[in-house]
Amino acid sequence: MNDTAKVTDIDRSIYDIRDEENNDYRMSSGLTAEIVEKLSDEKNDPDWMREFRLRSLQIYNELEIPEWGPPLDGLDIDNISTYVRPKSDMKASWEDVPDDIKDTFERLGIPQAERKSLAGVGAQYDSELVYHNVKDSVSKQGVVYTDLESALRGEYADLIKEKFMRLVPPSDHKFAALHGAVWSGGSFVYVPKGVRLDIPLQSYFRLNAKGAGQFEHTLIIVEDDAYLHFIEGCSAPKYNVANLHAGCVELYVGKNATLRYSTIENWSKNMFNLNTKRAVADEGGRVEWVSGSFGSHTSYLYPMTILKGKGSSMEFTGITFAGQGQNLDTGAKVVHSAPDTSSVISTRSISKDGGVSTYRSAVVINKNAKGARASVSCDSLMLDAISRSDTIPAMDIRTGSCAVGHEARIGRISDDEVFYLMSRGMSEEDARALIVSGFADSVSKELPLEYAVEMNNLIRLEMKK
Amino acid sequence: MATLNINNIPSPTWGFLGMNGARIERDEGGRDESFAAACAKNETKTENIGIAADGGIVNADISLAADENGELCVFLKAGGSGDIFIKLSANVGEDAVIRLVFEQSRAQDSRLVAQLDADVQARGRFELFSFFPGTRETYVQSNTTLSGDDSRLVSRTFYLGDSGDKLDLNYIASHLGRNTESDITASGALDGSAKKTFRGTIDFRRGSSGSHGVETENVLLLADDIENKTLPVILCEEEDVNGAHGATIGDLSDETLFYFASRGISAADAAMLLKNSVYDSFKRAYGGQHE
Repeated sequence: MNDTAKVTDIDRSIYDIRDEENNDYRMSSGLTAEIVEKLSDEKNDPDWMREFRLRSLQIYNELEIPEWGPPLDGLDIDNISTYVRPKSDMKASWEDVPDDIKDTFERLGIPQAERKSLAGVGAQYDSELVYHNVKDSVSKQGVVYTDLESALRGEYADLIKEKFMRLVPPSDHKFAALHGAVWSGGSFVYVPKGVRLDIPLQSYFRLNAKGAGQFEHTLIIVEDDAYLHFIEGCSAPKYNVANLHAGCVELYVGKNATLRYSTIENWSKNMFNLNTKRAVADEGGRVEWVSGSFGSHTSYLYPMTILKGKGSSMEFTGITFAGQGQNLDTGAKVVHSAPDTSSVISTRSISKDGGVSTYRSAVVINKNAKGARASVSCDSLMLDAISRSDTIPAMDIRTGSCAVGHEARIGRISDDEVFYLMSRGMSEEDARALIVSGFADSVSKELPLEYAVEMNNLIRLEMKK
Repeated sequence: MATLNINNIPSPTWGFLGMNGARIERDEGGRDESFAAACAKNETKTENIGIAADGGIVNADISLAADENGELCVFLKAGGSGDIFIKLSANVGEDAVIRLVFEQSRAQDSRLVAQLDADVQARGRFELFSFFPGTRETYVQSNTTLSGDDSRLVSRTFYLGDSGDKLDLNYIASHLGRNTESDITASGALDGSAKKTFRGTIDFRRGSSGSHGVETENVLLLADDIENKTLPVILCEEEDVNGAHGATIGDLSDETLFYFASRGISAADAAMLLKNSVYDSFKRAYGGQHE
């Protein structure tokens, strides 16, 4: 009964296939004003964006690396190429995408998913979008789903300028500043007032180049009374040098609108994933985060929601799986800044084979957030005695008129639960498998079906004899 | 003038929250006092220690020790206008018990800075009952190391805070031995413009298999100008352990107010009743008589 449950590592075979690097252009490694200016030239940036990049670089050089999280010793920006352009510009049909790149996305199931169940797809390969398309029926409703760089120059140029990196300013932290200096690719989504998109839009990010970074920027605006589900996926093959992902997501949710943002993060184990995501919700607005973190060598990932409008709400559901060689520091932040706001954070984590999983959160309830309600729940499962799991949830409350509840548990698979299931005729192996599936179930059922199936298939259980 | 960095949590978090620790300035000098209380093997003993600031600065060094199978109970009272700095160390031998009942008395211009360290050997038990009624500044760190197998920590903290009061607490239970148990609770009520930070850490070190740790905080918020910070932390590098923490923070619920109103008690009187009950809860926790 004291046998240790063993969960085999996530199956990475399809993600680890490497395409031969056949780039159109690769920026020299490092980060200097010359490199940022060269990037701006390559992008044909408007003047304000060029100045923004240079200002961000200055901020990056002034800020320190955080000391409270996992070590970032293995990350040397002098060895990272911040811009790699594939030999393809953006296409609206998969048939026009070069074969090697198209084959990669085929293996990952992106075109199939688009045909079957998506309203539109953006596919980024290294530093540029190679495919972007949205169904006619969706565009006719006034929904805009385009690459962000085109949107910088089109009819939404003023809106982009007004919103770009206002929710996540470069001064926020060192890697937000890095993003501001070298961002490339990413999408702009606009959902007009009252439009409810019942099928999701998806972006998929693939970083194939070795020793490179990906810095896509996603900007989504959902107007009053609208609904959108946006899915984000990512992967990269594993190399023996560090890769870096410092993307940025900014979400604006209007009055009584809802935005569901689902992410399955499956970067390779040489990846430093330093991503920043932030949403702001207006009166009655709702933000739903669903987050699965399975990859990366080191992660800093804390989607944040600002409940700015009265009655706005947030729900965060997440799972983190830290295996050998991984140090995943994930969680969520929420700021209640208006009356009658509510938030629910529910996370699960599994640590095995020496993996380190840290749950870190902040619930802040400001003085004007009378009637705010917040609930935080985090459960951690340790599968062996060589791994580590920490929970560090903070609550900062500045009004007497609120209710906050928090609970957390950590432990191993319960012998009593295994015994109970075995007494009902189940084998010990099946019993442990069922318990682990049940542990992850509350998250997988929030995921889109194909991702839930993928997640459940990836987690397999073996018994040590 | 010296700067002290105190009440630091073992694993820091975002700096913007201002919860990683506290920094205070203190004047050098003051009156030094030292106290020692010990009980021999199989002995039972009770001691009383009183520390009064009397308008100045007091630096108190306190050493407690309970030898094998001994039971030592210490009532520690501290208060009065002025600054009191306490460094307390408690060594709990095998099968021994040290019970520390720490009561701060309320004084308007009073600052208390207390560092309470305990080391508990096999099958020993450290019990800490604390009451902080609210003063200008109170900083308390309790650091208990459960070194021996089957050692135990029970910590019950009760507090009140009102306008001008600042309370900063940091409780750490480090599980080193096997089958160790920690049980940390903190309960209190905040009124006026009180400021309170509570950090509670359960740290399961490798080798502490079979251990259990529980930590809970319940905070009653009675005014809109309060500032409450809560940081319950579990650190774990051992598989075969069970850890849990919970926190409930909020105002008087509608159901509670209705209950009181149906008995003819106004909301203001209900709040006062509940505040007064905190001290009663403290006394009940350590088994003291109701006054």
